[in-house]
Amino acid sequence: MMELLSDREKRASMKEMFYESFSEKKFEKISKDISELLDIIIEEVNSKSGDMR
Amino acid sequence: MISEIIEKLQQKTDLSYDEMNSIMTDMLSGNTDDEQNTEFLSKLAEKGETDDELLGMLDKMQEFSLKVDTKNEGTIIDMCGTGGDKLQTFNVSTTASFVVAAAGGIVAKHGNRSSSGVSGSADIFEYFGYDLDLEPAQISEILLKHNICFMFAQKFHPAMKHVSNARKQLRRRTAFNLLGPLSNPAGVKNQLVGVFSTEYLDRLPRILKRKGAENIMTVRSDDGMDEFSTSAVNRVCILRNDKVLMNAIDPEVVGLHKSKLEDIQIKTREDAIKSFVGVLNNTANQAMVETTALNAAGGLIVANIANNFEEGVEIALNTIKDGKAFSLLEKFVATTGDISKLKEMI
Repeated sequence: MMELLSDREKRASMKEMFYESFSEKKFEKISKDISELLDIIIEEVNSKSGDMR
Repeated sequence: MISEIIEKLQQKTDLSYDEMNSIMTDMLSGNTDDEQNTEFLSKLAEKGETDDELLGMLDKMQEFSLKVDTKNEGTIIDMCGTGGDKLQTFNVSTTASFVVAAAGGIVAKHGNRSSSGVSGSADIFEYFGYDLDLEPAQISEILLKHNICFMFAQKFHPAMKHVSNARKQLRRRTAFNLLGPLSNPAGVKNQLVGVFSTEYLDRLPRILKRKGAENIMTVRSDDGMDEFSTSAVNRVCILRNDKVLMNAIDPEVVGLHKSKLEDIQIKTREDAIKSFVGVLNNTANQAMVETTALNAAGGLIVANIANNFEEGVEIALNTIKDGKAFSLLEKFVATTGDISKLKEMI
Protein backbone atom coordinates (compact mmCIF):
# COMPACT_ATOMS: atom_id res chain seq x y z
CA MET A 1 0.00 0.00 0.00
CA MET A 2 2.80 2.38 1.00
CA GLU A 3 4.57 1.37 -2.19
CA LEU A 4 1.46 2.12 -4.28
CA LEU A 5 0.98 5.50 -2.65
CA SER A 6 4.58 6.34 -3.30
CA ASP A 7 4.24 5.39 -6.97
CA ARG A 8 1.13 7.51 -7.25
CA GLU A 9 2.88 10.46 -5.65
CA LYS A 10 5.85 10.01 -7.94
CA ARG A 11 3.58 10.03 -10.98
CA ALA A 12 1.74 13.12 -9.76
CA SER A 13 5.04 14.89 -9.25
CA MET A 14 6.23 13.93 -12.74
CA LYS A 15 3.00 15.24 -14.25
CA GLU A 16 3.30 18.46 -12.26
CA MET A 17 6.84 18.95 -13.56
CA PHE A 18 5.55 18.35 -17.07
CA TYR A 19 2.93 21.09 -16.71
CA GLU A 20 5.48 23.44 -15.16
CA SER A 21 7.55 23.23 -18.34
CA PHE A 22 4.65 24.98 -20.13
CA SER A 23 3.95 28.70 -19.84
CA GLU A 24 1.33 31.24 -20.84
CA LYS A 25 3.83 33.04 -23.05
CA LYS A 26 2.63 33.44 -26.65
CA PHE A 27 4.55 31.91 -29.52
CA GLU A 28 6.34 34.27 -31.81
CA LYS A 29 5.19 34.25 -35.42
CA ILE A 30 6.93 31.43 -37.22
CA SER A 31 8.36 32.76 -40.44
CA LYS A 32 8.72 29.40 -42.12
CA ASP A 33 5.11 28.51 -42.67
CA ILE A 34 5.30 25.95 -45.48
CA SER A 35 1.56 25.38 -45.87
CA GLU A 36 0.82 29.10 -46.19
CA LEU A 37 3.70 29.42 -48.62
CA LEU A 38 2.34 26.53 -50.69
CA ASP A 39 -1.06 28.23 -50.82
CA ILE A 40 0.56 31.32 -52.29
CA ILE A 41 2.53 29.27 -54.83
CA ILE A 42 -0.57 27.30 -55.88
CA GLU A 43 -2.52 30.54 -56.23
CA GLU A 44 0.22 32.05 -58.40
CA VAL A 45 0.47 28.96 -60.61
CA ASN A 46 -3.32 28.85 -61.02
CA SER A 47 -3.54 32.50 -61.92
CA LYS A 48 -0.71 32.17 -64.45
CA SER A 49 -2.32 29.13 -66.05
CA GLY A 50 -5.70 30.88 -66.16
CA ASP A 51 -7.19 28.22 -63.93
CA MET A 52 -10.34 29.50 -62.25
CA ARG A 53 -10.28 28.95 -58.53
CA MET B 1 -31.72 35.54 -43.96
CA ILE B 2 -28.47 34.26 -45.51
CA SER B 3 -28.16 37.29 -47.81
CA GLU B 4 -28.24 39.60 -44.76
CA ILE B 5 -25.61 37.47 -43.07
CA ILE B 6 -23.37 37.49 -46.17
CA GLU B 7 -23.74 41.28 -46.31
CA LYS B 8 -22.63 41.49 -42.67
CA LEU B 9 -19.60 39.34 -43.36
CA GLN B 10 -18.78 41.43 -46.41
CA GLN B 11 -18.65 44.44 -44.09
CA LYS B 12 -16.32 42.46 -41.81
CA THR B 13 -18.90 42.37 -39.04
CA ASP B 14 -18.63 39.45 -36.64
CA LEU B 15 -21.69 37.23 -36.20
CA SER B 16 -23.04 36.34 -32.77
CA TYR B 17 -23.11 32.70 -31.64
CA ASP B 18 -26.91 32.69 -32.16
CA GLU B 19 -26.70 34.14 -35.65
CA MET B 20 -24.15 31.53 -36.67
CA ASN B 21 -26.14 28.76 -35.04
CA SER B 22 -29.24 29.84 -36.90
CA ILE B 23 -27.59 30.16 -40.32
CA MET B 24 -25.96 26.76 -39.88
CA THR B 25 -29.41 25.24 -39.28
CA ASP B 26 -30.46 26.56 -42.68
CA MET B 27 -27.28 25.42 -44.41
CA LEU B 28 -27.17 21.93 -42.91
CA SER B 29 -30.90 21.43 -43.58
CA GLY B 30 -30.37 22.15 -47.27
CA ASN B 31 -32.36 25.40 -47.16
CA THR B 32 -29.60 27.39 -48.84
CA ASP B 33 -28.17 26.83 -52.31
CA ASP B 34 -24.59 26.16 -53.43
CA GLU B 35 -24.01 29.73 -54.55
CA GLN B 36 -25.11 31.12 -51.18
CA ASN B 37 -23.05 28.57 -49.28
CA THR B 38 -19.96 29.37 -51.35
CA GLU B 39 -20.43 33.10 -50.82
CA PHE B 40 -21.00 32.62 -47.09
CA LEU B 41 -17.93 30.43 -46.53
CA SER B 42 -15.76 32.62 -48.68
CA LYS B 43 -16.74 35.86 -46.91
CA LEU B 44 -16.41 34.23 -43.52
CA ALA B 45 -12.88 33.06 -44.34
CA GLU B 46 -11.95 36.48 -45.71
CA LYS B 47 -13.16 38.18 -42.51
CA GLY B 48 -11.60 35.54 -40.25
CA GLU B 49 -13.71 33.41 -37.89
CA THR B 50 -14.16 34.41 -34.25
CA ASP B 51 -14.30 31.81 -31.48
CA ASP B 52 -18.05 32.47 -31.06
CA GLU B 53 -18.62 31.86 -34.76
CA LEU B 54 -16.61 28.63 -34.74
CA LEU B 55 -18.44 27.42 -31.65
CA GLY B 56 -21.80 28.25 -33.20
CA MET B 57 -20.87 26.21 -36.27
CA LEU B 58 -19.43 23.34 -34.25
CA ASP B 59 -22.45 22.99 -31.97
CA LYS B 60 -24.79 22.83 -34.94
CA MET B 61 -22.57 20.35 -36.80
CA GLN B 62 -22.67 18.07 -33.76
CA GLU B 63 -26.43 18.49 -33.37
CA PHE B 64 -26.85 17.24 -36.96
CA SER B 65 -24.36 14.35 -36.60
CA LEU B 66 -24.79 10.68 -35.72
CA LYS B 67 -23.34 9.77 -32.34
CA VAL B 68 -21.53 6.79 -30.87
CA ASP B 69 -22.64 5.79 -27.38
CA THR B 70 -19.43 4.33 -25.94
CA LYS B 71 -19.39 1.50 -23.39
CA ASN B 72 -15.70 1.51 -22.46
CA GLU B 73 -14.59 2.38 -18.97
CA GLY B 74 -11.70 4.81 -18.89
CA THR B 75 -10.51 7.86 -20.76
CA ILE B 76 -11.39 7.82 -24.45
CA ILE B 77 -9.29 10.00 -26.73
CA ASP B 78 -9.09 11.00 -30.36
CA MET B 79 -5.98 12.03 -32.21
CA CYS B 80 -6.15 13.61 -35.62
CA GLY B 81 -5.04 16.62 -37.56
CA THR B 82 -6.90 19.26 -39.46
CA GLY B 83 -5.07 18.09 -42.58
CA GLY B 84 -4.07 20.57 -45.21
CA ASP B 85 -0.34 20.65 -44.50
CA LYS B 86 0.25 19.39 -48.07
CA LEU B 87 3.49 17.73 -47.04
CA GLN B 88 2.45 14.25 -48.25
CA THR B 89 3.58 12.45 -45.14
CA PHE B 90 2.44 8.93 -44.19
CA ASN B 91 -0.67 8.52 -42.01
CA VAL B 92 0.95 9.48 -38.75
CA SER B 93 -2.09 9.88 -36.50
CA THR B 94 -3.75 6.67 -37.71
CA THR B 95 -0.57 4.71 -37.04
CA ALA B 96 -0.03 6.40 -33.68
CA SER B 97 -3.64 5.65 -32.70
CA PHE B 98 -2.92 1.91 -32.91
CA VAL B 99 0.19 2.35 -30.78
CA VAL B 100 -1.74 4.26 -28.12
CA ALA B 101 -4.53 1.66 -28.07
CA ALA B 102 -1.98 -1.18 -27.86
CA ALA B 103 -0.30 0.63 -24.95
CA GLY B 104 -3.53 0.71 -22.95
CA GLY B 105 -5.31 3.80 -24.30
CA ILE B 106 -8.78 3.91 -25.82
CA VAL B 107 -8.98 5.67 -29.18
CA ALA B 108 -12.22 6.62 -30.92
CA LYS B 109 -10.64 7.73 -34.18
CA HIS B 110 -12.57 10.15 -36.34
CA GLY B 111 -11.35 10.76 -39.86
CA ASN B 112 -11.94 11.16 -43.53
CA ARG B 113 -10.48 10.51 -46.92
CA SER B 114 -7.61 12.73 -47.85
CA SER B 115 -8.30 16.00 -49.61
CA SER B 116 -4.76 17.38 -49.77
CA GLY B 117 -2.58 14.39 -48.92
CA VAL B 118 -1.95 11.03 -50.60
CA SER B 119 -4.11 8.98 -48.26
CA GLY B 120 -6.45 9.73 -45.37
CA SER B 121 -7.26 7.58 -42.36
CA ALA B 122 -10.44 6.35 -44.05
CA ASP B 123 -8.41 5.05 -46.98
CA ILE B 124 -6.23 2.98 -44.64
CA PHE B 125 -9.14 1.44 -42.74
CA GLU B 126 -11.01 0.77 -45.98
CA TYR B 127 -8.01 -0.96 -47.55
CA PHE B 128 -8.06 -3.56 -44.79
CA GLY B 129 -11.76 -4.21 -45.34
CA TYR B 130 -13.22 -2.04 -42.55
CA ASP B 131 -16.78 -1.09 -43.47
CA LEU B 132 -16.91 2.71 -43.49
CA ASP B 133 -20.69 2.51 -43.40
CA LEU B 134 -20.88 0.79 -40.01
CA GLU B 135 -23.67 1.97 -37.71
CA PRO B 136 -22.88 3.72 -34.40
CA ALA B 137 -23.89 0.69 -32.29
CA GLN B 138 -21.53 -1.59 -34.25
CA ILE B 139 -18.70 0.88 -33.82
CA SER B 140 -19.36 1.06 -30.09
CA GLU B 141 -18.88 -2.75 -29.94
CA ILE B 142 -15.63 -2.55 -31.91
CA LEU B 143 -14.29 0.09 -29.52
CA LEU B 144 -15.25 -2.04 -26.54
CA LYS B 145 -13.51 -5.10 -28.00
CA HIS B 146 -10.32 -3.54 -29.38
CA ASN B 147 -9.97 -0.18 -27.60
CA ILE B 148 -9.84 1.41 -31.05
CA CYS B 149 -12.48 2.15 -33.65
CA PHE B 150 -12.90 4.32 -36.71
CA MET B 151 -15.74 6.74 -37.39
CA PHE B 152 -15.91 7.88 -41.01
CA ALA B 153 -16.71 11.59 -41.11
CA GLN B 154 -18.89 11.33 -44.21
CA LYS B 155 -21.04 8.68 -42.53
CA PHE B 156 -21.36 10.52 -39.22
CA HIS B 157 -21.96 13.99 -40.63
CA PRO B 158 -24.55 13.34 -43.35
CA ALA B 159 -25.83 16.94 -43.30
CA MET B 160 -22.42 18.13 -44.46
CA LYS B 161 -23.38 16.92 -47.96
CA HIS B 162 -25.36 20.18 -48.28
CA VAL B 163 -22.14 22.22 -48.13
CA SER B 164 -19.82 19.84 -49.97
CA ASN B 165 -20.27 21.48 -53.41
CA ALA B 166 -19.47 24.89 -51.95
CA ARG B 167 -16.36 23.52 -50.24
CA LYS B 168 -15.17 21.85 -53.45
CA GLN B 169 -15.83 24.99 -55.47
CA LEU B 170 -13.89 27.18 -53.07
CA ARG B 171 -10.81 24.94 -53.22
CA ARG B 172 -9.44 26.55 -50.10
CA ARG B 173 -9.60 25.90 -46.41
CA THR B 174 -12.86 26.86 -44.75
CA ALA B 175 -13.91 26.80 -41.12
CA PHE B 176 -15.16 23.25 -41.70
CA ASN B 177 -11.57 21.98 -42.15
CA LEU B 178 -10.87 23.18 -38.65
CA LEU B 179 -14.12 21.92 -37.16
CA GLY B 180 -13.88 18.38 -38.54
CA PRO B 181 -11.41 17.15 -35.92
CA LEU B 182 -13.38 18.88 -33.17
CA SER B 183 -16.67 17.18 -33.98
CA ASN B 184 -15.85 13.68 -32.74
CA PRO B 185 -19.05 11.57 -32.87
CA ALA B 186 -18.12 9.75 -29.64
CA GLY B 187 -18.00 13.09 -27.82
CA VAL B 188 -14.45 12.59 -26.55
CA LYS B 189 -13.21 15.16 -24.06
CA ASN B 190 -9.53 14.29 -24.41
CA GLN B 191 -7.89 15.02 -27.72
CA LEU B 192 -4.61 15.52 -29.50
CA VAL B 193 -5.27 17.84 -32.45
CA GLY B 194 -2.75 18.75 -35.12
CA VAL B 195 -3.38 22.14 -36.70
CA PHE B 196 -2.32 23.67 -40.01
CA SER B 197 -1.54 27.10 -38.61
CA THR B 198 0.02 28.43 -35.42
CA GLU B 199 -2.94 30.79 -35.07
CA TYR B 200 -5.15 27.91 -34.03
CA LEU B 201 -2.74 26.31 -31.56
CA ASP B 202 -4.12 28.23 -28.59
CA ARG B 203 -7.54 29.00 -30.04
CA LEU B 204 -8.70 25.40 -30.37
CA PRO B 205 -8.11 24.50 -26.70
CA ARG B 206 -10.07 27.64 -25.72
CA ILE B 207 -12.98 26.69 -27.98
CA LEU B 208 -12.96 23.08 -26.74
CA LYS B 209 -12.76 24.26 -23.14
CA ARG B 210 -16.10 26.02 -23.65
CA LYS B 211 -17.48 22.63 -24.70
CA GLY B 212 -16.33 20.95 -21.52
CA ALA B 213 -13.06 19.42 -22.75
CA GLU B 214 -10.68 17.88 -20.20
CA ASN B 215 -7.24 17.18 -21.69
CA ILE B 216 -6.56 18.94 -24.96
CA MET B 217 -3.21 19.16 -26.71
CA THR B 218 -2.68 20.97 -30.01
CA VAL B 219 0.47 20.74 -32.08
CA ARG B 220 2.11 22.20 -35.15
CA SER B 221 5.69 21.59 -36.15
CA ASP B 222 8.01 24.33 -37.34
CA ASP B 223 8.45 22.47 -40.63
CA GLY B 224 4.75 22.82 -41.28
CA MET B 225 3.28 19.47 -40.22
CA ASP B 226 -0.11 19.26 -38.53
CA GLU B 227 1.46 16.51 -36.40
CA PHE B 228 4.48 16.14 -34.15
CA SER B 229 7.60 16.06 -36.30
CA THR B 230 11.02 14.62 -35.55
CA SER B 231 12.59 16.89 -38.15
CA ALA B 232 11.77 20.18 -36.40
CA VAL B 233 10.77 21.75 -33.12
CA ASN B 234 7.08 21.34 -32.30
CA ARG B 235 4.85 24.09 -30.93
CA VAL B 236 2.47 22.58 -28.42
CA CYS B 237 -0.46 23.99 -26.43
CA ILE B 238 -2.29 22.27 -23.61
CA LEU B 239 -5.39 23.07 -21.63
CA ARG B 240 -4.60 23.04 -17.92
CA ASN B 241 -6.84 24.37 -15.12
CA ASP B 242 -8.79 26.50 -17.59
CA LYS B 243 -5.57 28.04 -18.92
CA VAL B 244 -3.93 27.43 -22.27
CA LEU B 245 -0.23 26.83 -21.79
CA MET B 246 2.47 26.61 -24.44
CA ASN B 247 5.77 24.87 -24.95
CA ALA B 248 8.23 23.95 -27.67
CA ILE B 249 9.15 20.27 -27.87
CA ASP B 250 12.46 19.38 -29.48
CA PRO B 251 12.47 15.72 -30.58
CA GLU B 252 16.15 15.29 -29.65
CA VAL B 253 15.49 16.47 -26.10
CA VAL B 254 12.95 13.70 -25.59
CA GLY B 255 15.39 11.03 -26.76
CA LEU B 256 14.68 10.80 -30.47
CA HIS B 257 16.87 11.20 -33.55
CA LYS B 258 16.52 14.26 -35.70
CA SER B 259 15.15 13.16 -39.06
CA LYS B 260 14.54 14.65 -42.48
CA LEU B 261 11.05 15.40 -43.67
CA GLU B 262 11.62 13.37 -46.86
CA ASP B 263 12.13 10.23 -44.75
CA ILE B 264 8.44 10.24 -43.83
CA GLN B 265 7.00 11.48 -47.12
CA ILE B 266 5.13 9.14 -49.43
CA LYS B 267 4.02 9.26 -53.05
CA THR B 268 1.25 6.70 -53.47
CA ARG B 269 -1.56 5.03 -51.55
CA GLU B 270 0.46 1.84 -51.65
CA ASP B 271 3.29 3.67 -49.86
CA ALA B 272 0.77 4.82 -47.26
CA ILE B 273 -0.35 1.25 -46.51
CA LYS B 274 3.24 -0.04 -46.42
CA SER B 275 4.34 2.73 -44.04
CA PHE B 276 1.37 2.14 -41.73
CA VAL B 277 2.05 -1.61 -41.47
CA GLY B 278 5.82 -1.10 -41.49
CA VAL B 279 5.75 1.11 -38.41
CA LEU B 280 3.41 -1.18 -36.51
CA ASN B 281 5.57 -4.26 -37.20
CA ASN B 282 8.76 -2.23 -36.70
CA THR B 283 10.16 -2.67 -40.21
CA ALA B 284 9.70 0.94 -41.36
CA ASN B 285 12.58 3.43 -41.30
CA GLN B 286 13.66 5.03 -38.02
CA ALA B 287 12.12 8.40 -38.90
CA MET B 288 8.66 6.89 -39.43
CA VAL B 289 8.84 4.78 -36.26
CA GLU B 290 10.04 7.69 -34.13
CA THR B 291 7.56 10.18 -35.62
CA THR B 292 4.81 7.74 -34.73
CA ALA B 293 6.26 7.30 -31.23
CA LEU B 294 6.35 11.05 -30.61
CA ASN B 295 2.76 11.46 -31.74
CA ALA B 296 1.69 8.44 -29.70
CA ALA B 297 3.44 10.04 -26.71
CA GLY B 298 1.19 13.08 -27.13
CA GLY B 299 -1.82 10.76 -27.20
CA LEU B 300 -0.61 8.86 -24.13
CA ILE B 301 -0.26 12.12 -22.19
CA VAL B 302 -3.76 13.21 -23.21
CA ALA B 303 -5.01 9.74 -22.19
CA ASN B 304 -3.41 10.14 -18.73
CA ILE B 305 -1.13 7.14 -19.36
CA ALA B 306 2.20 8.96 -19.75
CA ASN B 307 3.32 11.82 -17.54
CA ASN B 308 5.62 13.49 -20.03
CA PHE B 309 7.02 13.12 -23.53
CA GLU B 310 10.10 11.12 -22.49
CA GLU B 311 7.92 8.54 -20.77
CA GLY B 312 5.38 8.56 -23.60
CA VAL B 313 8.05 8.00 -26.24
CA GLU B 314 9.52 5.11 -24.24
CA ILE B 315 6.12 3.43 -23.82
CA ALA B 316 5.32 3.93 -27.51
CA LEU B 317 8.64 2.55 -28.77
CA ASN B 318 8.38 -0.47 -26.48
CA THR B 319 4.81 -1.10 -27.64
CA ILE B 320 6.05 -1.21 -31.23
CA LYS B 321 9.21 -3.25 -30.50
CA ASP B 322 7.39 -5.77 -28.29
CA GLY B 323 4.97 -6.52 -31.13
CA LYS B 324 1.92 -5.32 -29.19
CA ALA B 325 1.03 -2.65 -31.75
CA PHE B 326 1.11 -5.09 -34.67
CA SER B 327 -0.73 -7.75 -32.67
CA LEU B 328 -3.56 -5.28 -32.07
CA LEU B 329 -3.69 -4.50 -35.80
CA GLU B 330 -3.90 -8.23 -36.63
CA LYS B 331 -6.75 -8.82 -34.20
CA PHE B 332 -8.53 -5.67 -35.33
CA VAL B 333 -8.34 -6.54 -39.03
CA ALA B 334 -9.26 -10.19 -38.37
CA THR B 335 -12.59 -9.16 -36.85
CA THR B 336 -13.42 -5.94 -38.70
CA GLY B 337 -12.00 -6.56 -42.15
CA ASP B 338 -10.04 -8.87 -44.43
CA ILE B 339 -7.01 -10.45 -42.72
CA SER B 340 -5.66 -11.74 -46.06
CA LYS B 341 -4.95 -8.10 -47.00
CA LEU B 342 -2.62 -7.83 -44.04
CA LYS B 343 -1.09 -11.30 -44.43
CA GLU B 344 -0.12 -10.68 -48.04
CA MET B 345 2.07 -7.81 -46.83
CA ILE B 346 4.17 -9.73 -44.32
